[in-house]
Amino acid sequence: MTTRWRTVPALILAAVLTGLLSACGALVGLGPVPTGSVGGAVDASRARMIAARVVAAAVKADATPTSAGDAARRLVYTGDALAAATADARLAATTDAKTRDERVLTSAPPIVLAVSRGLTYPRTMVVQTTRAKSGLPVLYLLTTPDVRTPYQIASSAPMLPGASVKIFDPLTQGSLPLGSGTGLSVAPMALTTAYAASLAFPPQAGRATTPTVPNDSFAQGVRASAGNQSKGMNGIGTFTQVHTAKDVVGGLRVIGGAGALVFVAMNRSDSFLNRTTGTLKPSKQFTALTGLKSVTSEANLSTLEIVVFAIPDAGPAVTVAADEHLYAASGI
Amino acid sequence: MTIARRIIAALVALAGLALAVGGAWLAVVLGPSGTARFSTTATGPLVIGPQVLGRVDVPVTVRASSSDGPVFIGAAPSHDVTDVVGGARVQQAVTAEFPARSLLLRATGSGDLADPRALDVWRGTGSGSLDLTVGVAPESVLVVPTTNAPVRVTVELQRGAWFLEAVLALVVGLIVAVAAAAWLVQQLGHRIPVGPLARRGPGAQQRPSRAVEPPPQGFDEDDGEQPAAGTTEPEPTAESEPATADPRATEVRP
Repeated sequence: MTTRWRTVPALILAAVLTGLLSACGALVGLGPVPTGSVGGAVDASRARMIAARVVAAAVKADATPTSAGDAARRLVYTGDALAAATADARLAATTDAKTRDERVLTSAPPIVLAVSRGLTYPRTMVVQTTRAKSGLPVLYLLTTPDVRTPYQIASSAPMLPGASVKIFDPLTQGSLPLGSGTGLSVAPMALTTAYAASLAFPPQAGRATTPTVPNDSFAQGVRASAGNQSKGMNGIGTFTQVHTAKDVVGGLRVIGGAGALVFVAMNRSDSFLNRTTGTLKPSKQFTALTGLKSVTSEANLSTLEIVVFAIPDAGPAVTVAADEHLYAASGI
Repeated sequence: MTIARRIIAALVALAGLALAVGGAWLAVVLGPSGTARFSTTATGPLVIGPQVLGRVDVPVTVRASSSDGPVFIGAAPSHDVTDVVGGARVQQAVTAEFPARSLLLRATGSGDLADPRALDVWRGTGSGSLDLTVGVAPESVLVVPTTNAPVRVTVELQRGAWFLEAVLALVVGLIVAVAAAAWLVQQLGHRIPVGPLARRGPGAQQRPSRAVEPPPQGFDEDDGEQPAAGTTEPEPTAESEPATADPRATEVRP
């Protein structure tokens, strides 16, 4: 072998060695520190764990209508949902067995429909359970205001028969927050105000219905009930019912941002005015709240109404879930 | 040129040896699973940030043990861990040092850290160990002992290719070192004045005509610049070193 040919392997080996050394970093796989953004505020498995824990705690708290249960309710509920749960607990003794049975949930774990995107607060989660007897889904809005506060139920309501909810972005991606409602066919608070006004009894002139919400079964039920109450007061006195928008609790945008699921709260005031010298016989709930077994001149009841709207980016909004909770009463 | 080539060959041999030794050491350290371990002992809560966990896109296992009770380990987005810690006194794992295989710690904050175990921010929690897969977003791990006893914390980064790469480095290094050394020994070997061994050498059989011819006048065995007279394979001056180092020149000298 000539000298020329002996140097070739050495050069090749040297090149290989140099290449190996230079590619060392790539071989190790070292890269920059991740700087990407977070998708869902919580990952899917964690969200399911949280939802299961919160719903289980809520069921347990609801089953404890005593003052001992109040502490449990304060842990698991917040805002309007806490007011509703507390009101229900106060009226638990007056709730008949049928109603209680209807509220029982299946043993299936809750389904997390959506989690809010990103790491900003408040963080939100939409969860669904199912009522065992009727099979009606129940929607929950879970929120947490800061890193130290666990998720709590901010709102919940059973879905109306035949209602449906559009799908959300995947949990790993997270859903866009509701924000101020930009891009929706109607602003949530404006919708709530219009919807509340449309439920008034007697109907207000020119505001019999809201143009953005079709005549849903909840509104039909409220109007029918008000009509029956009014009929019952015929020849005795008057009955009026006023609904006022309370607040927009929260919500999340559906997939692609083409609409949103919005949880709102309204107040309902029922007023009975007795124009006779006789007395009115109030309901068990009224008596439980006021201690009055009869009303001579006037009775007022305050009810918290939870409504869930599906507001699209174009077109009319739809009521998909609703519930009501009597929480205060007074009478003379 | 001859000396330069020999120096280069020596350097290549040394580099190959270093590569082989390094590869062997890495193979032993990483093991067949290709697991790199970085350990430290912390007193109190410890935050392991993305600069330690996120530099390599591989599965990470954080282990923590204390002689005095269980140790909570929680993984969450770095933003959340920062919020959880707030201004509390913690130790931050600033960097993972290699080959020391340790975590460099830095103390920050003051005051006690509130119990973080029940928070909803954790993407994963464990007691004693926690496996996590680093995503595109920066993640951190918070290690919180339940007592004041020191906590031994180990971060394990596992990548099977690392072991193969270490073995490859060992093999390539050995090949390079052996080849370069062999070439060098062959080159230097021509200068060794050995009689019988030289006759059995390859050079003795390749150039028999030169073995019976006396060198020309003035030819010096150490003078590599002069071509041998009567050589059957005349070589350029620049490549005449074999003739220079040819031991037969000494052998046929009267």
